[in-house]
Amino acid sequence: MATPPDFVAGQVLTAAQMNKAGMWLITTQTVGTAVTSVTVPNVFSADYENYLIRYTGGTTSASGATLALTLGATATGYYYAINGLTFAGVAATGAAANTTAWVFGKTATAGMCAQAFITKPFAADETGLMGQYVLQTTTGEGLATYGYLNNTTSYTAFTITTSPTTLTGGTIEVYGMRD
Amino acid sequence: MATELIQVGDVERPATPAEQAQIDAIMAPFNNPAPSDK
Repeated sequence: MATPPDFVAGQVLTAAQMNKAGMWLITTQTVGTAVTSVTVPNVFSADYENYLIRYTGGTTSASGATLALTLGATATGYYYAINGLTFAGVAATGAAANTTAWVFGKTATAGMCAQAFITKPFAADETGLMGQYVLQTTTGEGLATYGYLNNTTSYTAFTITTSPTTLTGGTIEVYGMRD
Repeated sequence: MATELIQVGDVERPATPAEQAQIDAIMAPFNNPAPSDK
């Protein structure tokens, strides 16, 4: 067979070959106009333990506001630590314990560029977060967020929130990672 | 704070009072200033 993902039209693949697909695009959500939160429902399931959430493109009413990430309707128990630098080399850090959300990134008029690996959101276990974000301007910055949600609730949905800043456009993609 | 527009799946609509309260609660720790806005 051709080397994946360069398949040949009409090619028949075996289950063993298909099972090597490491990530599966579960859904693509287009962000609306001037919304303060976007909920992506029905993405976490028993099919996968671990997920990648990506939010790219679009614009915002103001740069630099927090992009908060929450699971289901839970608004407590989020822990996180942020480590980053501006492109000028100035430290950009933050941390919170038992707070209302994870910080997933920041808004940017030039377009969002944020992603987060989520571990075990559907399983009855604590959920982990490993996120990255880049503010794509000449005076921008890059941050990494590490955290977890201190409960064993099973979730199927997540929400990205920023307020009073608003979001317009851009794409949220959710991938499941093969166990 | 004014009622804000939320999106659930592909549907955009004004937040209900309960949803608005949750948005306000979620964002309160991160506004003025956001802990990552150093």
